[in-house]
Amino acid sequence: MLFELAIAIAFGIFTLGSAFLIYFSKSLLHSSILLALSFIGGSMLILLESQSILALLQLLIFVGGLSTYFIITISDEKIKSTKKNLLFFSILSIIISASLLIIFSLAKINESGILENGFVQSFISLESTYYYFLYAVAFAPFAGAIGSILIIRRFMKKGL
Amino acid sequence: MIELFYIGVILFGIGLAGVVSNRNIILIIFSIELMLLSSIILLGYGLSSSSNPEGSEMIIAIWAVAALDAMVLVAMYFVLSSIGSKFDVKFFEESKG
Repeated sequence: MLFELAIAIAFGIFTLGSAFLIYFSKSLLHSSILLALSFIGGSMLILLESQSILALLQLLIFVGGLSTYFIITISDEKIKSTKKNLLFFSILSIIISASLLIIFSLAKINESGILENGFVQSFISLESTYYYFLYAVAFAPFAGAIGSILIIRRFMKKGL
Repeated sequence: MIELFYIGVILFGIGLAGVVSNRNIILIIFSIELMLLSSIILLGYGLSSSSNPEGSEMIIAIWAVAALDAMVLVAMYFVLSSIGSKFDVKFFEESKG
């Protein structure tokens, strides 16, 4: 119990510290790396609450968003592909993969384990109640994607 | 674990302070991501602390908003970087419509 508490406090400090340092780093690339670290800490905290499926999905989905931020910040910084940067990003990707592996190994991915999980249970029991809500949610990124394309098209034609 | 509740609340505060105090668009969107992360942590805390799982479908909505953030940032980055403008929110004072 005490060991679990110590791990939770350590991950909490890790998450909050990396979130706080986002605003004090010199470059935007470092900010995005700190954001990635705070995401990893956050999903580990969810894992400690025994919501393993939620932690797994959260990390997998946010890695997709983070890759976009990495591309944008790298293109903003105009960083050359040196060996030092290559090593740095390899270490970061190893950290992300290791955390994914830890979550995969700790998650109960068998039939009874999945059914015991609260996050999955909610979708089994509330499927019919929130059916249209989930449809509406699916349209939000769709509308956002069309909006982004329209902004870029409008800019290409006329300029702002 | 009650600590997770406090961590989520502090994280939300850090994100809110970042949105209010920064002028860089990329940092503002990072702060919004932090707020979304904190809300997922709080919903995870709610899932584990109560036997009633109702409300967890909001997690899907949060993931959708996070994806939407990334899309909007890409569009804004494309437009602002091709103008040569800095990523300052002051720029939007000049934009029309």
